[in-house]
Amino acid sequence: MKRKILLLICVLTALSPLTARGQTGLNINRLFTDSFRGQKGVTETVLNRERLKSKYQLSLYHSLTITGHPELAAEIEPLLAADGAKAKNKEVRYKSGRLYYGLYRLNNTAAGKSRYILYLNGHLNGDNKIILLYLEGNVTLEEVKKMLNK
Amino acid sequence: MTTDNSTQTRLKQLSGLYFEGLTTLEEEAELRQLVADQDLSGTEADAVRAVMSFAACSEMRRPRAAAKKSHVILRLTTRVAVAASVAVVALFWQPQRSDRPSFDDCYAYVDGHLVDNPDKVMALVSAELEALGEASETIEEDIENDLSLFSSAMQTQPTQETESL
Repeated sequence: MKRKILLLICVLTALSPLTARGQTGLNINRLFTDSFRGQKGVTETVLNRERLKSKYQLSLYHSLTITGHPELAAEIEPLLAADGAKAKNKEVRYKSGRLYYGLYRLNNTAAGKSRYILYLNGHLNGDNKIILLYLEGNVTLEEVKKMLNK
Repeated sequence: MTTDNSTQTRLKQLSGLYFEGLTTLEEEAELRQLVADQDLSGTEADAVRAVMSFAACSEMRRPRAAAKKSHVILRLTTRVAVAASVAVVALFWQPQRSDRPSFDDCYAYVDGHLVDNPDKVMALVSAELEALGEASETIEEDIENDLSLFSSAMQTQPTQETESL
């Protein structure tokens, strides 16, 4: 009996991180690591609910902005494509055969929050930035677009 | 007491069969009884004593090993489950840097340097959203323009078909 309880505790402990973080399990997660954020020209920004709810109805804002590294788009695009393949909605634009802009609405988290990935490769439009943004919150797709155009 | 030749002969006979694995249970018992006599000396007797002593120890251990087997398997299963759980947690849990604020705050890493001034972080957020917003707006305008072109083309097309006819 004691062994069964121990096994149950171990399984629940193992599963709890997966349900606690909606970003977990996404391919783009491989980019939010020390190897990326420590590079020159890379900015990683994290905001939680308290900072966001006054302005936006979001619970998580997690972004990477990469300046001056156009070659990194080749690393990002396949990961984005893999996550985007499971998207409920997506709006994408390609330029010269490369992904220029992407807005993906993913399946909700276990807690029922909406999840979005946004991507912009400014190098394809005369800019020198790549932006990858992950959002979580009780927001619709239209509200996300309004947030962008404020 | 000295052993006689018949005993030595019988010892040789039985030990030969024993080491060939050909003794019956009765012969093996007889051999064990023979070598139990400490007066019976010689290399053959010593060799039989050595092997029989080892076999006896193994037999004594075997029942306890069988009882422990299921207990070991259960303990092994538990350990494997614990190890698997730890591996899953390590795989999916994102390690937190020691110099990083708690996740319930707002911060940014710029070129690897921590920025935790809220105004500066919000400025970064605004810049990112503005860039994304501009791209989104441009795309919507382009779509509207394309649809307008389609609409124009469709309005002129019937006239051209009429002319071709």
